[in-house]
Amino acid sequence: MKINKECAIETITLLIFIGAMLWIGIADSWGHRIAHDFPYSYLASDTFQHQTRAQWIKDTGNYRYEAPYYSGGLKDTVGFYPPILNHISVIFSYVSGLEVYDTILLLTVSLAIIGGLIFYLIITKYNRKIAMLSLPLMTYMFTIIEDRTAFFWGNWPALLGDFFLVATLWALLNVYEKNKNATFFLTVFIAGTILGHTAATIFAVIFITFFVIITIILKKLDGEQFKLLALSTALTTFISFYFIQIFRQIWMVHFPFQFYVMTDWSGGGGIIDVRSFGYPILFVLTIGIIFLMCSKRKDIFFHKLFAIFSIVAGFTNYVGFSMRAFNFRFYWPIFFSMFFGTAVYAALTKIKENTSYITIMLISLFIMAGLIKLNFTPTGPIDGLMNVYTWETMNWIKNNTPPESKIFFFYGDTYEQDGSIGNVQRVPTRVEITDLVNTLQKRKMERNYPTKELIEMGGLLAYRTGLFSYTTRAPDDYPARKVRDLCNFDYYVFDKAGRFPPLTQLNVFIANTFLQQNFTIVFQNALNVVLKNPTISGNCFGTNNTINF
Amino acid sequence: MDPTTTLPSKTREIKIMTILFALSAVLLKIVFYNETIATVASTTAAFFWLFIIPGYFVTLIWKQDSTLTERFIISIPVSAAILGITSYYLGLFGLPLKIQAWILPPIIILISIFCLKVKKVSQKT
Repeated sequence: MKINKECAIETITLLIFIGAMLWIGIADSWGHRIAHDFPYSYLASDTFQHQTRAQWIKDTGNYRYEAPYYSGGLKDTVGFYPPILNHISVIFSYVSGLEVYDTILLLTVSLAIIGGLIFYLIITKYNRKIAMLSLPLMTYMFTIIEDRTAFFWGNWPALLGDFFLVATLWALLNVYEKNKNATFFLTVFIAGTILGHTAATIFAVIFITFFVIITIILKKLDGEQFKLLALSTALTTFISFYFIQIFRQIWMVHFPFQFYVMTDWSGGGGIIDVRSFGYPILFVLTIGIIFLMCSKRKDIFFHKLFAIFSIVAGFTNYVGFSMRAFNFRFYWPIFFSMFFGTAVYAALTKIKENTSYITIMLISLFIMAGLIKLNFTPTGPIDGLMNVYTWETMNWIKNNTPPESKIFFFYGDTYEQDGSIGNVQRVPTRVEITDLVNTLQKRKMERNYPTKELIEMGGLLAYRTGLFSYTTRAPDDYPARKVRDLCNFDYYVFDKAGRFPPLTQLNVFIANTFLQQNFTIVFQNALNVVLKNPTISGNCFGTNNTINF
Repeated sequence: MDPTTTLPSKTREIKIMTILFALSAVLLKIVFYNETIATVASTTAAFFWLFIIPGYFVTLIWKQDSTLTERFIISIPVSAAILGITSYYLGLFGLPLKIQAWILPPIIILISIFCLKVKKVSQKT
């Protein structure tokens, strides 16, 4: 079987690229393993939010409703989150045998890498050699700290949205090339943005609108292309109609469009800036943009249009798009790779007019290796917020307590990012460190104490009122944070060790107080102990309802 | 990956896809060197079963004239989108994901083959 030499070179390059990206993107943090004993390298609450939702979907077999245990105990809260990531993670879990907590992160990283390959395909329409030389810059997706953070802090739906956005670009290029079958791909990929991360649809629509306006002005759009777009719009609306109603009546109620300039996103992991690439690379990118925009080639109009859009869209935080602009920037290493490849190719052609494919491959891989060596610092395995003992404890609670049980978490390092406590699959409530610090200063704790219940308010606990209609609930009726009677829970979890020894000592003190009130130890391991309350609303704090220490 | 052989192209593509599967498994084992061969193999197989093979058959209908490289890469977002969206709606209608995981890919493949045959017949007439 003969294989074309150029194709073989391309395949080898792409395989090495995929391997390198997987290595720096996830393998290093995962200890070069795929299957783990607990949610691994999860560094923020949002990671657990998505993981527990996906696990719920796996356990129930569908996404009609949100889990009661993170919905204030309510059983009729409609499933409101864009569903694609969770569903493909669950299906992948079933077929591969991996746990959902592994498949969801593995897929997020893998699909981001594939997003790079899709953009590679777009660049090949411009110049195949430039496409190969573009690959090295894509490694910045995992070496710019704010971009890497997106993967380990849980910006997973946004990354999936960007993945379908770049697929939409590829489909739009097919529309531009008057490929009759483009309608199918454009439909499927825009629907992917709607049900993957609806914010990405906004950017897709803006670029398509921008594309249509410019091509009409320049007389590059004809009736055939317009028909393809119109048909795709109609089909996409039909496929996504059900979820669009959820988005309109729930998301747009909770997060109505508000114009405000956003210049800080430390809560989201930080902002990717053009300076994040470093000034030398920024210089190379600038050269690349100039060469691209000054090219006399008429067949790269689409690439020039997208070049402008890829830069401008990332700065729409200044015109009211707030954090969605920062979500778009996650893919800047991919989008800007076209400029990088152009600059390097321009430099190469100055040295030698017609560089061979194999030379291009070697140069691309050499640059890729160099950039990784310069920018990537291996960390080795990162457990993240979860650990084997807490995971064991949460699974014990899940498997050994009545479903209606209320679980209370005292201090533990894992629980401050409280998405994790949803894994007990019971209604979980916890203390907050700031309140415990006040308690230590006062040297007393009262049974009516400020607490925080895990309640997913992103959908305002909306419930169905008709086939396509929903009503949200008032947040004030379901406050997550409020003073609660600490004796009113069924089980209590205490950590015996943590980053703050005074708080773990407080844990021990409280646990011993409870044991004096006939609480029983129902589970313990090296890190955690679980006590069962014999009498709900009894005198767990003693007759004075106060613990002094 | 443009065919330059005397073998029928689809048979050739299946051979290439098989080689790619093997190469992917080897690549995954190199990257995740602390993982067992069984887990690497099942992960690779699951990825191909869900995200490459269904999309590959779909792209045969719509992009037969493009290169295997393009169809291979595009098969992944196609599979992800079709699986994700279909799975969501089928779940709402009551078909558990446990069953969908195994029946959706062959259904997509069979529908694609049917559409391909219909397309070929209509092109002949």
